[in-house]
Amino acid sequence: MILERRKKYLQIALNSDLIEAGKIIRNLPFSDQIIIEAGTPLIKTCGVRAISRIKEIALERFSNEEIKREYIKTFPSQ
Amino acid sequence: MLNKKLSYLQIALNGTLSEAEGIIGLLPASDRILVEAGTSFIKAYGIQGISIIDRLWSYKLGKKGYIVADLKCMDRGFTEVIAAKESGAQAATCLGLAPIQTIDLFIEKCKELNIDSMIDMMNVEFPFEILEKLKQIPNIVVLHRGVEESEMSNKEIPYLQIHKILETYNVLISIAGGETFKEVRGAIFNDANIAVVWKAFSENPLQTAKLAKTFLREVR
Repeated sequence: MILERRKKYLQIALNSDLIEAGKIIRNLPFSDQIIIEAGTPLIKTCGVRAISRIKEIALERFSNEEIKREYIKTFPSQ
Repeated sequence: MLNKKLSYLQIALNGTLSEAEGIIGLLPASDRILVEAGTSFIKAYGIQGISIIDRLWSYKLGKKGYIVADLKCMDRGFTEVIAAKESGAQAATCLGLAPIQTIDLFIEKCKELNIDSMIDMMNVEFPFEILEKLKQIPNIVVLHRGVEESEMSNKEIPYLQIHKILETYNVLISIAGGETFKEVRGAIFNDANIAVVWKAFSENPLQTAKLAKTFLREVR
């Protein structure tokens, strides 16, 4: 289990396109309590590369120093 | 878009893009063969994958081929329908288990975009009850025995549902979950319009391309 039972999380679902996903991610505060979701419509539109692209954008947004642990989870809902 | 008097064989593509290319190359060119971009294929390649399948199959046919985008919509169905239409699909699927409002919106959007709506009744005990609740009926009802259901239990292909639905609704019936020619013929014999196969093609494309040829020869 990667998530911690005692913590509360906010999961942000990205469902439209990668451009909008990029805009949203770039405006998110850094926190390991924020989970980014590659939504089903986005995956169906862009394929699994949507997941890797979201991860790339998030890694660009937050410096390596900030990333103390793996914090990106993707939840294809189907 | 499909002719109610004809029977069709739908080939589901769920492997890699190169496997899909290989299988399409083996298929006999016929209007009675429908090519499906399977859900796992769509998740891997997105709508770009559907476009490639569309181009390959249409090239083989020498005209626009019939491509089914097995979206299995459960939510936000209309956005996925738009993407499927743009990729060249002529039919898209929505799950019968989805909220009724989602199914209604899905059917409405399909109608607006002029593509066939398929409602997949996998894991729905009484498909008739879902149809009764809808504002408008879909073009095609898919009666479905899931992959795990067929491999891990003795669940039967739901032939009995076909007549119950056809007595009341003017829809086409698609039967998914059979794999052998006997099961395909059984589905059509029981008044289904479309028989869907996937496993045989992904496991042994050469051997089972014969199934498509036999279907075209022996089933009308």
